[in-house]
Parts: sequence; structure tokens; C-alpha cells
Amino acid sequence: MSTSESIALQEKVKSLAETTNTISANFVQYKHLDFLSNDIESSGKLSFKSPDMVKWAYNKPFQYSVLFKNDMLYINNEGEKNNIDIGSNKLFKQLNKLISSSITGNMFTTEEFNINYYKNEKGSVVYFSPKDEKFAKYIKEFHINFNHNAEVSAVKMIEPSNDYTLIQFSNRITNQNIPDAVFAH
Amino acid sequence: MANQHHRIVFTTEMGNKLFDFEFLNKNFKINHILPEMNKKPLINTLKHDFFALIEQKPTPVQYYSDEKSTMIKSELLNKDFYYIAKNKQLYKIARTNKGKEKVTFLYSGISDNIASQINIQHSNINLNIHLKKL
Repeated sequence: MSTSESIALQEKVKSLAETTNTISANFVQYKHLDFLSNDIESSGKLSFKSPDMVKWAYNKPFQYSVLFKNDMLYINNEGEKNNIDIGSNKLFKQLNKLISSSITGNMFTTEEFNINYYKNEKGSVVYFSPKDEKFAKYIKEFHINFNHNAEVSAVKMIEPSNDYTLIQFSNRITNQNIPDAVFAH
Repeated sequence: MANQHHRIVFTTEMGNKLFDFEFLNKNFKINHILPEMNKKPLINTLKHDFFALIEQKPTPVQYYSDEKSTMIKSELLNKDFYYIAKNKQLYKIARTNKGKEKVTFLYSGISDNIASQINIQHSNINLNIHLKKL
């Protein structure tokens, strides 16, 4: 991708992120482990409320949800609830911020990442490699796929071992009111 | 098969890998572990738990039985394990130390010799592992 094309994509993603208050989408998650012949598949619904409330509600293979809200992590494992205070954990905070920003894709911070841009049939894909060594031990690279409207269609998180998690979004609806109950815990 | 080769990997629901262990016969190898979990006592506990879980033919050192139940005492990595079966169906493994039950493995939802759930409970540390069949 040329420099001007990458700048155009950045601007499109940024302006879209700024006007996005809510996102809801279905997702399918594939966990790829090299030694397994099949990826482990799970699926559910994502709800996002700007700036940083995110809920991943899995309904397959189990009912499991994780809600990021006010520096807290609320987990509901088939009715069994757990809260984790992430305010004091720098790494968790960083991860939380990254998860929020990867949903809109607005994470073009060159202080934090080495960034490479590529075009593909469905739009574009941007590779983000964390510069923070500590963080890079967990995730070596993020590949964020954008459709032609500059919306995130898939996120791939690659571990140092090259095993990865791929999350594909569908039925994405933006700026539709999400009931408070979704973000209750 | 001459070789017993197992790989045990735990990830979070969101996909992050917690640890990746490999068991080849009596050899144990850590392919990956989160720095936060890289503690010897924890690794040893998990290692003992999983060795017991994947052992297909525990070597009996003692054998007890009545009409319905059988209990095989076996030694794995210098620990005492009891494999307890009812109507020839394994439903519990207990690891003991000085006569006290330290770790209990409970099998439930068994059909066709496959348990849909396995619960591993530790009495001396706050660690429970709940495995569900996909």
C-alpha cells in the first residue's frame, strides 16, 4: 500500500471511530494451535460502547462472558461470577485498551507499534507489532482486517510461537442503542 | 502403541495461551508457560495431576476389590495414587500423602467409557481444575 493510501485508511478509520458510540456484532473465534489438526471454534456476540466498555458474550461451546468496564473485568462462567480489578495491573490495562481500540481499528500509534499496511481483495490488512518487549511476549503481532468501509472485519492475534487467535465479525451494527443490561454485571 | 505421547495446552476463553506441556512416556517438557505462572510448585502440581490423568495403565502395587468396586494403588513420580472403579468404570482417582487425600479426580457424565466432565480438586491449595468435554 502506498503512503498516501495508508494515510487515507488511517483517516477514514479515525473519523469512523470518532463517530462510533456503539457497536454490536456476532463473532466467530478460531484458536489455532499448530499441533492440532482442527482449530478450536467458539462464537458469540460482541457489544461495544465508546470509549472502552466491551463485552464478549460467548454462547458456543459454553455460556461465558467477559465484560471490560471501568478498569474491572467481570467474568460470568455459566452463572458463576468473578470480578478482577485490573486497575493496578499495567499489562492488563494495556491489553484492555488494545482490545477496545482494535474493535474500531483506531490504534495507529507509532510509539507503540511498528505498523505495516497491505491491500487485499476485501479491503486492507494492517500489521501491528508491539514495541514493548514485555507485551510482545504475549502477542507478537496483530493483524487487523478492514473492509472497504474501513470497518474492522477480523482481528488476528499472533503469539510468539505463531499459534494465533482469529476473530471474525459479522452482522455489525453501529450506533444502535445497546440496553444498559448488556453492560450490567 | 509403544509410546505414550500427550500434549496438554490451556488457553483462556479469549484465546491467550496459559501453558503448553508435552508428555512423552515419563518425560515432561514445557513448551510454553505464562511468566506469571512460571513457578515451580505450581508446575509440579500440574505435572503430577496431568501424569495421573493421562496414565493409561497404572502399574498396580496393591489391588483391592469387593463385589462391585475395585481399587488399584499405584505409584507415579513417587506419589501414591488410588484408581477407584465401580462396575469396572473408573470414577475417581485420589492422590494421597501420609494417608490423607491431597488431590481428588472425579469423573462424571460417563458414557461409552468417556467422561463428559472431570473435576480435579486440591485439598491443600486453592486450585480446582474443571474439565469439560467439547
